[in-house]
Amino acid sequence: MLPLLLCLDHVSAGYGEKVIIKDFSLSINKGDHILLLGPNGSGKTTLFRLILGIIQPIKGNVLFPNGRSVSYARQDPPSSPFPISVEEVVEMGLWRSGRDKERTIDEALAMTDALHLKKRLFHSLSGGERQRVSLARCLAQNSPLILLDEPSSFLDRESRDSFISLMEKVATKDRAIIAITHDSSVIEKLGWKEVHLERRKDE
Amino acid sequence: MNRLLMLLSLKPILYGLIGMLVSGTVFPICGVIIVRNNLMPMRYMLMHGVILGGILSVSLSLPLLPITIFLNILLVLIMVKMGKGKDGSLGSSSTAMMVFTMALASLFSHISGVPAKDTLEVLWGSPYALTLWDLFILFFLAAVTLLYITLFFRPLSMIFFDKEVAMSMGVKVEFHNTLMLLLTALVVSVSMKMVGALLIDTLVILPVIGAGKRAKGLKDLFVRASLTGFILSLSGYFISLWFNLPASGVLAILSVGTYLLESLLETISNRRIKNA
Repeated sequence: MLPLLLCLDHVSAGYGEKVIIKDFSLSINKGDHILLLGPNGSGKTTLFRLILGIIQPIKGNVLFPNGRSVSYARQDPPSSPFPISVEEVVEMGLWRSGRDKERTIDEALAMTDALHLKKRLFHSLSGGERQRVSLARCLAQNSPLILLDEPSSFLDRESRDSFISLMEKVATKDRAIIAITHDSSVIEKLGWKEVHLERRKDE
Repeated sequence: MNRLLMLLSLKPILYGLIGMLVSGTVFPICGVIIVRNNLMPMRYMLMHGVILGGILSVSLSLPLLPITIFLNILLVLIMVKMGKGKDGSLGSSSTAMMVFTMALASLFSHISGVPAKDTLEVLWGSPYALTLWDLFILFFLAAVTLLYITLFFRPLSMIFFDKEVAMSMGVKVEFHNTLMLLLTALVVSVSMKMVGALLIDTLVILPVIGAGKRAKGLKDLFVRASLTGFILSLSGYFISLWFNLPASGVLAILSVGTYLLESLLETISNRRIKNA
């Protein structure tokens, strides 16, 4: 059995009085590749925010046996016209890391077939390119657990197929990935283990 | 040339030059923070804080800069305490504080009978009015700004890029947001001495917006904005000295000219890329 990375132990979470997730448990081991499915409002993004430590559980525990080390790419990477280069975005993954900067950035971009974008401005990229660079930032961070929030939602069919191939490529035994998706082609082509969240009826 | 050298031997002229060069180089760094974090409404509030500070200073015969710095820090802390709007911006609270400061300024001005012409110094500023004490404050603020940006470049670039991603990586976003607001309050207060409350954007914002047109990344933006600010301050100061014009007005005209030039160069560059 591969090492345990994350244990959600009967957690409940929400915002203010509103409980979105109730009594939910899940264990993630190294090498697990999971698709998180469920209708809008079922708490998929809330679960991510819980894992990331952005919100705290109302009940239950979020346990990281080896310390919290999670990288995260959001559904809609920022596209406002502010000059941040692709290289600088990937470099963010190296915060508090002593690894060789140039080499790590090049390797992460090469892994996501985005090395040719290195000197471009992030806001000038297409949706598919932005997703690749965001994934490269996650890889540069070298966390054992990657969270992807609907990575294919803003992509055209060609970019989506290409991104699915990329997800297959990065889904190695060294790292666990949890991806939120609504996209049936992603679910079908990746064939990863599925975890379903249901919308709470008492809302 | 001899005339310029003679002028520079005068203390107010020399202090003014040093003040303009330091603030012109370092304050655009804070301008990047203002532009990226969309602190424009807060900047207006701080400019109004400067006017209130000016009136308090004249009516109570107290030194202008410390009063203004104290007031603006107080305004920022109250604004942070009042909290953010539903859209996550500080727009509502800064608007409320802006109106409040102007109301106080109006009342103080009336009660203490400050003549309107005495407040002109606050509105237009003058680098020639800098004292040695003002220069010490300016050097200290410049050092703090440079140190902050250098030491925290990566976490700050994460906040500029995406606050949620920054939080997910363990960056203390709220802490840095408050520090950036306080730094902005200090920079706006000190800029007022140089170019006056009405033309603070000349020194802090316009070099950033101009430089952002062709910057190749965040580090490049910081460098270009600083360089632009330095060149504008140097040239603006000497032109104003040579032709005996107000430094703030000359600097403002040069800043706008540089912005228009950068916009033109950006358009030409985009056309070339499109045609290639």
